[in-house]
Amino acid sequence: MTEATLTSGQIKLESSDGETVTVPLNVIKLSATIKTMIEDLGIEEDNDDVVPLPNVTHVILNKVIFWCDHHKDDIQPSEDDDNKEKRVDDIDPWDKEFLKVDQGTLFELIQAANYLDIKGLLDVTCKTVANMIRGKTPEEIRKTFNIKNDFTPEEEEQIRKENAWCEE
Amino acid sequence: MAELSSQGLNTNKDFLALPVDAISELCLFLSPKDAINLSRTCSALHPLIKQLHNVWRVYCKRVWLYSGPCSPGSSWYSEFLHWIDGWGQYMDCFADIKRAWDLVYLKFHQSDKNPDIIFRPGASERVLCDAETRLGYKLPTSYRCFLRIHNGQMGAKNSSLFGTELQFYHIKDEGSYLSPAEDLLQNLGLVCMTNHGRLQSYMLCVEPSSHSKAGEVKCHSKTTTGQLKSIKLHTCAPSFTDWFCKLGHQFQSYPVIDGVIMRFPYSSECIATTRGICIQVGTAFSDVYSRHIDDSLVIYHITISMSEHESGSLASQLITRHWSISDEKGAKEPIEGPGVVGYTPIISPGTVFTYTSGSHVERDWSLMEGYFTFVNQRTGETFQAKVPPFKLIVPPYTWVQLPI
Repeated sequence: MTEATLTSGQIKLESSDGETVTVPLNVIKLSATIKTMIEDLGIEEDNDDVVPLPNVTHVILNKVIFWCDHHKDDIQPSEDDDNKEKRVDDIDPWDKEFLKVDQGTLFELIQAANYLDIKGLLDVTCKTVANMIRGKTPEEIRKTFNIKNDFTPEEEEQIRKENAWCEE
Repeated sequence: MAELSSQGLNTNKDFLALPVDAISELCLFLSPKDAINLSRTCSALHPLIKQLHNVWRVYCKRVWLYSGPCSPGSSWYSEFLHWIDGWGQYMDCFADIKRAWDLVYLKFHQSDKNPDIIFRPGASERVLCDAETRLGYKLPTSYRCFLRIHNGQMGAKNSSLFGTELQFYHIKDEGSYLSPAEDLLQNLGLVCMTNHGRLQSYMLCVEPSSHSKAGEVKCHSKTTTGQLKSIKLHTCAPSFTDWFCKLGHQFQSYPVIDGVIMRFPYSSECIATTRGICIQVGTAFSDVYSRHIDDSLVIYHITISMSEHESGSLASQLITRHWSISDEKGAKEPIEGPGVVGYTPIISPGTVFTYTSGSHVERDWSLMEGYFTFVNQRTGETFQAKVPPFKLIVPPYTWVQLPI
């Protein structure tokens, strides 16, 4: 199947809760997982084949498609440079607005972006969560994400000593 | 896709429901400290984050510029901790300082047959602490990191590690070299980074005062007579890291004359080519010769060349020079004359002609531009070759009275 046919036509996706969504290929091609499924498994466009996505609810799937549609013409970024610390301050205003969601939705979007292998969406959602972690103490991070501290006081002390270099 | 959640609630919407791959991606957007603080939140995350081998491999590269190998039987996390043991206090500046050192080393390696004998091995923490005790001041962290990597420079060799200043009026001097920690001297809260050589004196401010902020890199204009009653103290950079990193970048462009790396940063934008004749200029403020009020000397180094691939018919001889100089007050008297420093060189394919001259600058800067007239050797035609405009900049200064 040539690149030209890949970007025309439509594909059907089925969410974990049984909803079917029809989406243009040139939108969903941002998902490397789906792109591979179509190319390697010979799933055909414009017919009744449905790609099941057991890990993505229809609410999240619709959001993902909405994001992909906005970003479908983006130039793919070049390979990450391991030497440079990755920037977290360059989230564009549209994405910022898109990600004004509750934490649960944010985590579900990360999971979907990871499963569907959509690099741009994974980057921007991880950046958003990273911004919620930066500069915080472990207790502050727990409060932010409602994580229960299940260490014994002895364990906590042991870990604190181990990582003394992290203390300011 | 492993799931970590053991905390009940609606599983998918928990932080701990995130797959390991996603947590790994997330950590690449965090600093090592933030990643560790995240791992300290609960027992599920603690071992998990330490085992994100790709993340710690990337951290080793970013923070320590270390790409491996990872010691057998060890993990990238342990590798990172190993570096913390030796260099932990320099975590925030190590990468910048090391990169700048590597650029300096590279230039020496290109210009000198034995670069290794020029750079002393790094100082130990003990030597640095002893130096601080002796000086009575703490040294900036970035400067300590600098000395930990190489503790100064062997003297009695060709090039100063900061780039050799031109001995303009043939003042005899063995040249200044980077002092090892054991030999550092301080005066007025300024630690002199070079040894007793008279020509160069870059200093670090360790005691803030009316003339200097802590951490600034300074240089001062010296007189050639013995007694100093007051000096012009110039600010070269707001911090050692700023100054050394800029040096590292500029070092690559310094011309090498008779095997000596000369301190003339060339900007890649300062270039003009006319009929195959390429003219470039590098400039350097001279602290040595800038000793009077409203009178500083900035030296410039001009390279006139023609590529060996050009046609021989382009060969031309430089006949006259013409300068327009302006500063904050406006345009000054134009200068013109025959040749350059007494020469009227013929520029032909493969020729590289360089010369040095200086210009007095009254206040903070002046702008020089102009042209040389050339005569084509074959046709006798006269034409002008433009010199790209270049700014002569005097680092901001204050006058400091010295106790007699």
